[in-house]
Amino acid sequence: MSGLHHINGRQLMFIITGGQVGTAMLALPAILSREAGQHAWICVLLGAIVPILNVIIIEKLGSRHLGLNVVQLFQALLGRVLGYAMIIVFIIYLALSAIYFIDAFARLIQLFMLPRTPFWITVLLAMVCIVYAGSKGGQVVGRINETLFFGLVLSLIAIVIPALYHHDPTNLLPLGELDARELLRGIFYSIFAFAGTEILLVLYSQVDKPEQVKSAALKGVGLSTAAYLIVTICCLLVFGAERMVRYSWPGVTILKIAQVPVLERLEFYFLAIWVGIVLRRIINVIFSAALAIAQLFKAEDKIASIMLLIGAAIFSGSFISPTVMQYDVLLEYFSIVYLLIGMLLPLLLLLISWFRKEVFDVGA
Amino acid sequence: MHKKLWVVLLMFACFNLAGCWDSKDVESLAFPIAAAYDVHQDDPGGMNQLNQGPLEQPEVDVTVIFPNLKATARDPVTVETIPAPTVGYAREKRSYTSSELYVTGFNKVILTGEDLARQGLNKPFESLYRFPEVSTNMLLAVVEGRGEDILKEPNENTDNMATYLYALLREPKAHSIPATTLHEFDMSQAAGRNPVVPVIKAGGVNQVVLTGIAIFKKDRLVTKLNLYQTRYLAFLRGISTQVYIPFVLEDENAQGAALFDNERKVTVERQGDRFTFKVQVILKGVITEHPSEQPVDTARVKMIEDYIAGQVESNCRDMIKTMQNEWKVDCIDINKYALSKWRRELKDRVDDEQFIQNAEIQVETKVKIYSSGEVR
Repeated sequence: MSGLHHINGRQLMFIITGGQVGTAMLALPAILSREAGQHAWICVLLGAIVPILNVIIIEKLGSRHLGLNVVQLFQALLGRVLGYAMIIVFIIYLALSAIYFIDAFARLIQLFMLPRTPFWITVLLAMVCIVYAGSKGGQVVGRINETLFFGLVLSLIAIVIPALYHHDPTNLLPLGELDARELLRGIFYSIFAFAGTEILLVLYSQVDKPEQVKSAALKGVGLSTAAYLIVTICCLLVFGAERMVRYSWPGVTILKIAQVPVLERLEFYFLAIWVGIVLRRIINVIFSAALAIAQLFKAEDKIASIMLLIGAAIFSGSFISPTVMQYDVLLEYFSIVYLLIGMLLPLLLLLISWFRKEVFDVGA
Repeated sequence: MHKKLWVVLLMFACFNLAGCWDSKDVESLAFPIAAAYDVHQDDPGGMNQLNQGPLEQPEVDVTVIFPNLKATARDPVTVETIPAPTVGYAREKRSYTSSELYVTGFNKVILTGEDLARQGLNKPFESLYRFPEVSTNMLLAVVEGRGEDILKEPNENTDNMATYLYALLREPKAHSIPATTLHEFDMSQAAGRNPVVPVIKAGGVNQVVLTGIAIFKKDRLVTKLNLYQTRYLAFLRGISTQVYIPFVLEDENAQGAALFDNERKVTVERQGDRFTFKVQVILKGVITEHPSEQPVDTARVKMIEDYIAGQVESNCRDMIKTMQNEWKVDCIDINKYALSKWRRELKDRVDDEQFIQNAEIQVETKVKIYSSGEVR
């Protein structure tokens, strides 16, 4: 294990939260309200089961193959050729998710803060920060996640303030009219927000005490779930499901109704903090992709150059930019791809690991 | 090599010390702080010439008031009316009439003429919700007559009518007219809900007076209530207010008054398709004027409480009767309680006129006077 990328359990917890929470938090309440009405917050709770299972599967897999990095793990379980192929698919998936995240981030900034700044400049400046942070290695990424977590706490406080003054509890009622189909649709749409736990496949081998992985990663998912739950409930209380579906990012719009003396427009301060929170998610994904590439080519000390190359590729990819209206369709695909690559692939690897137990026993 | 690179980077940093290269001086900006939307009429100031295209038939007159920030300006504010097919389109037209860059993010007040309010306000307000720069905290008011007349009214007590309007509409003081923001107007159009908006008209020493409240069915104005009716609407709707209520005791001919805070509780039950709402109006307050020098003991307080409870209950019942038979719209915001129990079943029919007409609405008033002031 390279000391440069070595992280502890506490940092892993914040990396998992950081890998999950981004612009999705601001859009999720409207998407879930459209599918499940006043039960949107229940979808958040049930949707969290998917990343929890994901963490349990990856942890089980990692603990059965201690000392193997993600590339070695894939090759050991899938064979040399298929292992190479799947790790490349996994890296491409991480890079595509990063393009999606950075695109949503830049669109949000363009809409609310910098309408006249060219889109590519916003993306470029974000990529410079991301590449620089990632090039410093896993330890620095861990510390960045730890520090920026408090930005998330501040953001949540900012979202709760308007809900304290403008809430209508009847917006959450009745609870008893649950519809299984609506709930399932809501859970499906919440999956895109919870994507991010799959980076544990890469990071598992970097954690100094593997016995802490399960607890730290589950705590990370717990923090993300709490963040999504708070935002969804606040938005439901303020807007109600019926009116909320009109807004693209109710997590920002809710701040426009707060009357704060001196500050006046809370959303601009919020977004200034939010920039760090979103970049954290993209840093984690791109760093994981870079680390996987470094492990593939046995060049873990060349992480800076690899980050630069991936950064350039993602910057170029962001020119194939979808419109905000296309996000709804994209996030359906994203949820499906996350389920296939982030969830089913580790499950498949775990099943193979169980069936081929004797082989590894011999190998050990 | 490294030293040369540092020098280049340092120079690059120095170039950026000047700040934004495309920054605008504050004097070259126009910050409208109040706007009025009216149904288009005539040719305001010859501005119809701004609309000459095939899709440019003026339908709305948008009047804005913005402070003149140049030190050499003679008037403290500029008031300008632009006719346009839509409110959003008027922003583009404004660039033909003013050298300043139009910045909409500081607008605090939106007035709408009564005629436009009767046609529906969602269309003129649409661009306000869509444009991130615009605050949804703007205060709304319906004007008896045209909104532009209020903004153009000269006011000797303030050099800026917009800031006066903002202070007037901002929050209920010792009256029962609520402040309604753009956000609340939008939220009050959800199923089972309807907005109410303050009404103002030209008059008084400051050229503007609050005259009551406008009841909307979704985005269309249905009727206006006077100040007396507004008080009972506030009680029934649960608008938090502070109001003086007069009383006259049987053994005294003179009139007294008490100052109350109000709250309400609503419960709903159903038997088949028959919905019964129980609205409890709770008033808590102090005696501010007593008609005689007789000591205000517990027996007298009880008499005053009973008198006020009877009066309030009777007036609330009258208002409910009018609401069910004439306005046919739930302006007291009780249908949402039915939705909170049977949302799936009722969401498509809760806003039908028959729903509120056929509902049984019971009112109970509880009055609690907890002090007689500094005098017994």
